[in-house]
Amino acid sequence: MAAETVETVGTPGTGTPVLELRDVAVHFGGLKAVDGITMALHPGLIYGIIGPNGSGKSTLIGAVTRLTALTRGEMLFDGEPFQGVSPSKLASLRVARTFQTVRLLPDLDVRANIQLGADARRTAAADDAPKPTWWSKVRGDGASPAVADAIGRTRLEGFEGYYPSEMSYGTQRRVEIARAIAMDPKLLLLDEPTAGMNKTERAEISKLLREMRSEGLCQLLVEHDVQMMIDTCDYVFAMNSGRVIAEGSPREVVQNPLVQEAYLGRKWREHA
Amino acid sequence: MSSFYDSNLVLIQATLTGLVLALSVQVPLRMGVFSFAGAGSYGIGAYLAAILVLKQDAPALVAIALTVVFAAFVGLLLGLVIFRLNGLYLAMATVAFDLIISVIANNGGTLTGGATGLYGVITDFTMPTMLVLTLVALFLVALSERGRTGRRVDAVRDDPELAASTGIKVRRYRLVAFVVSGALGGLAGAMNVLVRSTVGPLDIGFGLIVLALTMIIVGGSRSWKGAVIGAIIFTWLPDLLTVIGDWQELVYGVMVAAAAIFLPRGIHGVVVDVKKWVQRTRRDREGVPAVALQDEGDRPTSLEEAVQQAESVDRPAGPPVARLATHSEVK
Repeated sequence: MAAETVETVGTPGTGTPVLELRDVAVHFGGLKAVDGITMALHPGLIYGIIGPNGSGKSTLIGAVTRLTALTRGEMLFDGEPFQGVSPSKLASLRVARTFQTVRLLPDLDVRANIQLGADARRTAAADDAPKPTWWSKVRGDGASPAVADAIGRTRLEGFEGYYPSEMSYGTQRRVEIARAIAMDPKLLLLDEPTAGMNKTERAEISKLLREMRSEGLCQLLVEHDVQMMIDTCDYVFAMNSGRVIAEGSPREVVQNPLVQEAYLGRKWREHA
Repeated sequence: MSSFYDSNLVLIQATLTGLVLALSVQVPLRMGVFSFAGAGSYGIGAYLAAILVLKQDAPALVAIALTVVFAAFVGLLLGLVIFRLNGLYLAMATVAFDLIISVIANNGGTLTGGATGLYGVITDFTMPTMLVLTLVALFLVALSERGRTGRRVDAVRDDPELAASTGIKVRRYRLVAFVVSGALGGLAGAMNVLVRSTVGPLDIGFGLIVLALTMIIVGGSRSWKGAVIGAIIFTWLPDLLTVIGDWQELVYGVMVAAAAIFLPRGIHGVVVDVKKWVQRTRRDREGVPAVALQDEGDRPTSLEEAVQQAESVDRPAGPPVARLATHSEVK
């Protein structure tokens, strides 16, 4: 499946990176949650971050999405520094994200939840939809093609009228991903997108992410599931205690003794 | 009809002002802003409209327009000062604002008429004008619940972080809540004084907060329909309950408490739930959509092919510990 791309890794892209982090650090008092991360993410590749709980993965995502302030370092999007922009401005730069826990609006059905993502697109990139009149905007019943597209890609056909509480956790997660896709992102940040999904659903999501990669989307995936990582990612960073302890192709990283130690403990390595 | 209208004109007018007042508290609540400043804005509206009419001989519509703009402006200033507060603290700050308005009304000397208030506010304000103004306000609020704005308001209330990540300027929405609340409160107050021709400190006190909250809690806090339901019930109910004499306060209290306990989203919430239930039942009869099936092309058609596919997946040749964590091997 992903085998053909795995061989090409180790060369994490060329040209201007979509996202570049230079010595990024987030300290909470004495706690160095993220401590000097440098990475460059290029279009058309899927990057992964693995690491045990508390290794700083989510804090890093929080820093990139501007919800957490940097202690030091620099962040560039398309070559432009963006550590000063507001979280809401980030959407107009076409950065989309999903959250570690499902965050859908309970009072909106699937279509409206996804439309929330497409709404951001109207203010940001040129939408391929015809410009809505103010009346259709307030009525809001003309779901944009972006929504239909996102529903199709995440295989949510038939669920359009469902409310979040009426669906399984895995399906809810797919709605979250659909919402992010509907924003037509250049950079997609996925915080454990397949947690709570069954095997078939995981394979589906992996396939979807690879499909979007071929369209030039840059993706950063925080993931616990090693198999998902191997199947999906081109390049993986392993984090521990706020630092990158290993990076490279998924296989290299997974086999790295330091990573195994951080992830599974010394005992396991000796056992192996 | 006509005799009903004539004998209940006061109640009909009270329903309209009550509705606009309820909306002035509901709009911020719908955005997750626990502001009761609408009651204070009502006070500002009532006094300012009365002063404009009495001292400046302003026509009704001019008085109302100036009042609404001024109350919205005060709402903006208030918002700028306290929008960083949240929940209970925000609620307390806005209650304090309401009390300050009451104190000013009580101690405003000849301008506000002190404890006796202002009276003799006679203008050309008519019932049709009042109805039109109320409907316009209601229509605008109803629009804000639909489409893109409606979704965004939902997001700002339920999950500000998510809202920001989809490009919504949460802070601006919250400020707008204060401004709209101010305008609606001002409108309600101005209309009330113009139909009743009098206003005093007792008319704008803490009781307004209770009244507005009761209306939207029982009616439903998520939609203008809830405010309409609540405004009708709590304007007409006390009047209907007079037949039971001394017990009416108790019955009133029990009804409100029961609604808060058993109908947490108000009467309108029940209607919405029933609608969803009907929708769900109909859907279930039609069958649940198939979940995440793989492409037919990907699916193995024979056992050999399945084995081949499984083997072609690139797996780590590393130590078994790494494989322990892989998902596909956990059966």
